[in-house]
Amino acid sequence: MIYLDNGATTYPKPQNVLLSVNRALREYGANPGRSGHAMSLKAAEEIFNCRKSVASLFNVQNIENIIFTLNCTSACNTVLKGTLKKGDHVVVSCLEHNAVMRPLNELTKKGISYTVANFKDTDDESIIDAFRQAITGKTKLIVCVHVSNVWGIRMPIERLTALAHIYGIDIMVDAAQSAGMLPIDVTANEIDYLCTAGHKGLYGPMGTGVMIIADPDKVESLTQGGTGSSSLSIEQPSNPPDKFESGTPNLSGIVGLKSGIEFVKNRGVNNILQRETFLAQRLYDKLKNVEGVNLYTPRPDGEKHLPVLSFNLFDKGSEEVSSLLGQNGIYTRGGLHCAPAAHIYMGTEDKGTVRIVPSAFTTREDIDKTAFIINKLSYKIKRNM
Amino acid sequence: MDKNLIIVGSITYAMKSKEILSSNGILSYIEKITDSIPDAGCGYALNVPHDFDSAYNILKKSGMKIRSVRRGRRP
Repeated sequence: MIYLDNGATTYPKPQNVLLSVNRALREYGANPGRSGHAMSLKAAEEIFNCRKSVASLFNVQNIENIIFTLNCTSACNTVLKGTLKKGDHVVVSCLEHNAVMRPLNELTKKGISYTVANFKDTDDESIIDAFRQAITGKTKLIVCVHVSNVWGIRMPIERLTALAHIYGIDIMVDAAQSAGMLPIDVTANEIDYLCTAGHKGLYGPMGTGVMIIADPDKVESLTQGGTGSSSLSIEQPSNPPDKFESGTPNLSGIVGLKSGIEFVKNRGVNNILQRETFLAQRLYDKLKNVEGVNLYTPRPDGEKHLPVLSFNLFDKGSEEVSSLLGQNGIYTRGGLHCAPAAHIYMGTEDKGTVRIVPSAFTTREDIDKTAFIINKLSYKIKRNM
Repeated sequence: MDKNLIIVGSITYAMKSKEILSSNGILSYIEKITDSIPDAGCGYALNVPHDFDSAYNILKKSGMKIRSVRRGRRP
């Protein structure tokens, strides 16, 4: 089996992640931040240590502003629904995932509006200009994906953050695909809200996500409940992280996330990017010579075009091609990747694409075999045409 | 009540406070607030056996939100 669906979730996980999750369940499986016994305090300490790891990776000054969520989607929902009020306007890119578009769509029913910053060319100037033109006097928030989960296009979030702040607007960055692959400095870049998954480029277990908030007073909690503090009051705590972390946390997942971050830091974010770009380039170079393969983006370069490769084969549906690949032991994802906006941008909304994303564990042999199989499929399809 | 406690509330603040004190050479232990402390509600405190006043001042200066303090019996 060759797993190339790392855009959905990374597999396999590093050995240290597996070991730490197992250890957490066996040795300190108590509820953290609830009781006073040694195991509960140990569990709480592990969660605290994960917050420190996140703080170190993203250069966050106040670790209490690091919130653990179920996934990137719940983080995006919290920021959008916790900050926007009736009459507010939002500017989004034309590449956003449904984790942003669906809650935004829901919010339009409550009097919030949004404008899509449409750009044709993906150079930074064109993108910045598109966002600038979409801003109105009521714009409260700019939302932008860091790296498109379909096309691997890298958005200029540093410049977008500067643009937003010139107009007194906050910015929310969806770093689901970029965390662990690109360096992200929340403090230096003054990012107001960073949302990311714990289970993709950070190599943690599924069921983990991270939300980093510059000013927690600006965000209302979506979920209220038990936090293990101030229980006498039925008011939700106003201080983070408790404000946003009601109920029992995913302790083993968070412990695994810490190990995943350790793995990323030990390998080096830049090294991971370099290697994955090399693999994506190798595949791209082989596929561009395969008859019937349609590659929609330029060759990955690790700068503007990151190692997320989408393609189609003749006029076959992407789900069908992905299924055929799966039967040959190559695991990819076909379809719209929960990002119809990105497909509308490229004109592939009718059939989607087959998406291939390598990980730190993908080998050159995996790529070569994948190219071989796609070539074989191309030959078979053409023969039957 | 023999312990010197700085009550901070959430476990996260308790752990952060402990680290701050440790970096300033002050030993502290995290404890769950017990029923013997009325009006403190539910949450966590730092048991600071020595240098209590210094610990309190350091935490205040660092911006830590302190809910209340309890001084133990002095010898």
